[in-house]
Amino acid sequence: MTSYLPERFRKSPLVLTLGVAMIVVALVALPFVLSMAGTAWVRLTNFAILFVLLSLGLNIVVGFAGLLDLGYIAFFAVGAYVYALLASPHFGIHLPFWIILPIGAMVACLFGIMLGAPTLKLRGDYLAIVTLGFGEIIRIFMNNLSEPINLTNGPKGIATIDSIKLFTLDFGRTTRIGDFALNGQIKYYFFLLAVLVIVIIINLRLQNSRIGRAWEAIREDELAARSMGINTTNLKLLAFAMGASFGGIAGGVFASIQGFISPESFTLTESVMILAMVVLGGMGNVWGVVLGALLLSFVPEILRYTVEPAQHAIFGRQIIEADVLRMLLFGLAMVIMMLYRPAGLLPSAVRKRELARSTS
Amino acid sequence: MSLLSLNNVHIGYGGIKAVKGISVQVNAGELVTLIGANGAGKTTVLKAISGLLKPSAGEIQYDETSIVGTAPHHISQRGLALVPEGRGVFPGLTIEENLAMGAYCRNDKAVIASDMEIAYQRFPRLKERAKQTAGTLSGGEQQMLAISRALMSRPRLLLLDEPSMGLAPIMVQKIFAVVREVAASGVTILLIEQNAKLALQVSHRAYVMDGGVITLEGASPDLLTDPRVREAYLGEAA
Repeated sequence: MTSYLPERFRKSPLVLTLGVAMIVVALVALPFVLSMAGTAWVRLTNFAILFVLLSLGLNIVVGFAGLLDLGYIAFFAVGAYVYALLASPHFGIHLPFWIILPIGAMVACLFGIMLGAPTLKLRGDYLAIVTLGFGEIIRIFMNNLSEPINLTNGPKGIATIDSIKLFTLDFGRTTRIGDFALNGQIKYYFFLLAVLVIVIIINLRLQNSRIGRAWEAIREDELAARSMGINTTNLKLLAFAMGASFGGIAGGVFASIQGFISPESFTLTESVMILAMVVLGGMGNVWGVVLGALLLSFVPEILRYTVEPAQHAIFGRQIIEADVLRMLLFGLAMVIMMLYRPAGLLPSAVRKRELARSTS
Repeated sequence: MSLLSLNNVHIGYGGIKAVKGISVQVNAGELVTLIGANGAGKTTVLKAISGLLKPSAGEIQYDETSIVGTAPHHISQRGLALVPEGRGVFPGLTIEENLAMGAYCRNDKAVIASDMEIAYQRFPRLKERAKQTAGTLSGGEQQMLAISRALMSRPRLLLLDEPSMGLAPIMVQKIFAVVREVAASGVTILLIEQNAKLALQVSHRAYVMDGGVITLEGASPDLLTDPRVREAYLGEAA
């Protein structure tokens, strides 16, 4: 377990224990602190965690196996629709979440293989184009599968999706224990946190496993990897399948938090956003990807709440809209990053070396 | 007993026929070379043997069983290692990681570690740079690494694709000395080369390939003095 951590932590178990304890306390306290500022912030945090989950899933495909996927949101959509169809009045089916989430993961996994199998021989730009098309195909299907049989309810989307219910705990309502109120978003927060911890552990274990090393070899030189005895076909499919399953799980939780989904939530912009999170954080590095996803989820929201009041205070009127400023800052951040940290904020060791080589 | 035998093998890329019916035998313990000019179809033959290409006709037998249509990773798991053209090291991985990747199909950690030690003894240069990435090595060092990595799988048959390509003459001499040493240690080798003279000097038997067919074959020392070979490949007047 300790082998995943940076050198300086491995040497000192006391610092490690203290550090972990502090992080755990902070993570447990976080939603209660945030809800003082308003439940909206807990909700934003939940969405940020969803994006971390998605980024970690995409990181398996892009960061580990080196397969550029621009249609990743499709798996998120598949997971969300599976949840919505099996837990809403649309078909009148109301299955519990612990049945639907695994089903959603499996269906997304199948879609991952469906995308992976025909694209095994493609790399780089060509693969990106096909995956981009795949993402759009899924979205368009969701939009149009309301006839002849009404499967997805088309652009109107599916509403009143069941919230997650754990024993007697309904995540859609506020639970009161004496004076202590536990609202739905806080419950989702802890649920997502648990899923996130599992997904992070899986990612870290993958990175240092035989499979992880094989992916690394495929990314570096596929032909050489094959002559080392690596089954490149299966391993590439595995990358797609695993990435897709994580996306599917995230999609399911998303549907239940939102209570409503429509094809609009699954556009190319979202795919690009998730990819940007992976790239900004540092492709192939689990902690980097987590950081990237959190930054790109929170910064726009913080801007939304601060830019306008700040302008009013300084200039007395609004000069620039938060959305416009956001795009400007994104552009600026991207240029700065490409110049100074091309491998991401927390680059993986191998990626860093690869980039150092190509620029030298 | 022949470890590898190609019988009337045809290989094409789409409509273009690169290899038009060749037969090659490699016996256990032999160092056999396949020489020929650029575009003669040599690399294509190696790719077909290692399963990266499927021949359109003919039979390839390894260790008495047909390997036509077998996936490359299955072939390599049966003890056939390829050192690809242009070396094919993993440039972003360290030398140590590259060597470990060569032993991907093996599980015995102690034996792998001792094999790595053997590799380092053979090329002390690699040991000095064990933690450096393969991309920072010179061409010759990369070739050393590529050969060492292939040997990490403990192959019975080693396929070498143009190990001399793009290397300084002194490095070529060094690489060939190692090829000879590996052959002496009991590994069967099929060597593909443009450098006909050196290849003929180190090998036991040789095949000369031209335009997708075998034009000459025989014991290497004989071919080295054969006037046709001397004229066409050694650049000497007959």
